[in-house]
Amino acid sequence: MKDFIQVLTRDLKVSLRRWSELCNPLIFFLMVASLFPLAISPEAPDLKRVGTGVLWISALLASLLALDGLFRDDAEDGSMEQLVLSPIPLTIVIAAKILAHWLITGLPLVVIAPVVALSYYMPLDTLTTLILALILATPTLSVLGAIGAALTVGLRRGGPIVGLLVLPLTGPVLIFGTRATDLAVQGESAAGPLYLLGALLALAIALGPLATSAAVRVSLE
Amino acid sequence: MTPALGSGLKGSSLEVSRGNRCLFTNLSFRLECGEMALVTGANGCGKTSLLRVLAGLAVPDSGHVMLGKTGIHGFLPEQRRDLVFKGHLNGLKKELTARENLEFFCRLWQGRRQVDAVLAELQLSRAADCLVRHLSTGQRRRASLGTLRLQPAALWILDEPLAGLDKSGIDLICGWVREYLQEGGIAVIATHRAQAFSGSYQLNIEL
Amino acid sequence: MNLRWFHKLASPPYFYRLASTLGPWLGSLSIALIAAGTYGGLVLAPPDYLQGDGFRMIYVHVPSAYLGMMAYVVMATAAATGFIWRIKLAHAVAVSAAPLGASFTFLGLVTGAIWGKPMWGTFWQWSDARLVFFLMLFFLYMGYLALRGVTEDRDKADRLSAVLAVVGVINIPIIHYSVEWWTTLHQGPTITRLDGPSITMDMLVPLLIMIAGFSVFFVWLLFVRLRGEILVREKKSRWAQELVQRGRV
Repeated sequence: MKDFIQVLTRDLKVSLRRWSELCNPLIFFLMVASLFPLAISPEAPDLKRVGTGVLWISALLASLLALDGLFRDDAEDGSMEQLVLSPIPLTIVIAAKILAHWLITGLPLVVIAPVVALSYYMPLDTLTTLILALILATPTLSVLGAIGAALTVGLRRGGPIVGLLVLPLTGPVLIFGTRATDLAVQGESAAGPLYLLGALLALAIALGPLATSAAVRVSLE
Repeated sequence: MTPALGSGLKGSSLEVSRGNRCLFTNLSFRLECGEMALVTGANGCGKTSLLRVLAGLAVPDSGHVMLGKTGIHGFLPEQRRDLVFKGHLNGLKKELTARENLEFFCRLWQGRRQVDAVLAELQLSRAADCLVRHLSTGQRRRASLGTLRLQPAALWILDEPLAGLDKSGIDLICGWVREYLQEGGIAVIATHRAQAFSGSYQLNIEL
Repeated sequence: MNLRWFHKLASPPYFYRLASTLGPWLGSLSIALIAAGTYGGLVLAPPDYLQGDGFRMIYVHVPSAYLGMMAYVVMATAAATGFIWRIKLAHAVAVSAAPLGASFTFLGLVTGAIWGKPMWGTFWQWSDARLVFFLMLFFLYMGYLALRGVTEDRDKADRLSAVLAVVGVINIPIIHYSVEWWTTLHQGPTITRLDGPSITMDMLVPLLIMIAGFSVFFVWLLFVRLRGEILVREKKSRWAQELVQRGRV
């Protein structure tokens, strides 16, 4: 546990000292969400209908963009090798890194999302559900993304295919997340999908770091 | 820094290939406590691959590596405390200072030496609080090698440790290696500068 | 005895000979089954009371979709076996199965679309969970092949794609149970139900024969690809070089 905190704090420290890079996924999120009204229609009724979907897709794509930095730096400067050989189980190291990554990229997304939601004319009382759903969904996306990042980190041309690897697995998260938001917009209880999002998160936390460490080990061979 | 294990490092019938090329086959050797092996050879002949196999980062096509009574690949996480691997890359985070990097290693590996003392030996006391990003290549290499002194270990596997160091750095590291061997450690070192280690090694693996 | 047989099976030259011998038999069997199933499905089975003759697409669509999923399970199991026990042949099976599975999945999607248009008025239905997850299966195959394509070292490709294949296998039960969890265009399970199939015998039998025929067809094609894959991987070994020189490939 202590080691988990050590790795977590180091990663956070490193990320915060590169704070200019932290904004990129956030800006990307806002940009994508801003492009949809240009492409679809700026009229309020249209935006109201597509708001949920746009929000979630933008969050998904922004999470994807942020993934590259998860393991690439450590692989390039040799830290990954040292962590693999460290006395801490690799699964715990990976879990700490994923948490650090989510705190830096996923959490700001959750904080900014309500602003985008309001710009899409979503009613104010849906915001709690939206935030809750995103808090449950974005870590799952980070875990899934970590698997993709770990698989491609050692490959020269691996960068562009991370999305191809990760997106098919994000289907259920997207489905439940948008369902929860839609139910909230309609004024109904979104408990069902929220529970399912929680279950997905639990599953991801349980199995994700395992798959990721297997992939990291192979990537370093 | 006495090792916890008794019977030394043993490599048996190791075969390693890279891509489609077989680098070496049927390589066997044995090192007792206090002994060192020097690994030499031209570029691309497999020195790094051999060292990575010995450290457990890569799996050989055939054969196995044993440290004491345990196979390298069967090491439990706590047992990895007995092993230090230093590759070409420094393993330092550029956004942290040298001191912060070494302190992280010290906490992770439960090192016994004081970070300040090690920094003093490395003559990095003044540069200790600069970000690694702002250090020169030689300073980064020294800082990276500082972890050798921090971690109590039974086995050192070093890949070109002297690369990028000036004369005083080379002398320092060679002195550390000699001291480590006297205390009963086992070392496998790949280098192009065999003469720096003359007299210290018992075995020369030439690939 | 069991372990010895398994060891023998995992030896490339032995498996190559086995696959070469069994190949023609599997091919003939699959063609026979598919022919029988086609005849049964197109001629013998009565028209459906709801869909008329249009339902007969089921005889291609269902086996294709089933094989698409089954091939993935084969691929993932083989890849996991290769990863855990370091058996090269298992990796060869996985990489041979992948394009086949992708093709069956594609066939399933296309036949489903062709069936869907006259029957339900649409080529595609985004609100159908099973369709969407089945499409995801196709993307998983593509991701697997993309990952292999981008990795330069074959052993690394084997092991990385093995991790990906195992992670993606969770999609298979999702596809299977999606018709129960969500209301979709697809009807609920008709064959694998606890209280017996809900489809009449004379429609069911040709369907089962077609599924069997497609399965044997898959194994046959798998063996064909596998033989090529084994030769490529073992090209430096003596038995492979002798085989090629003798021209008896």
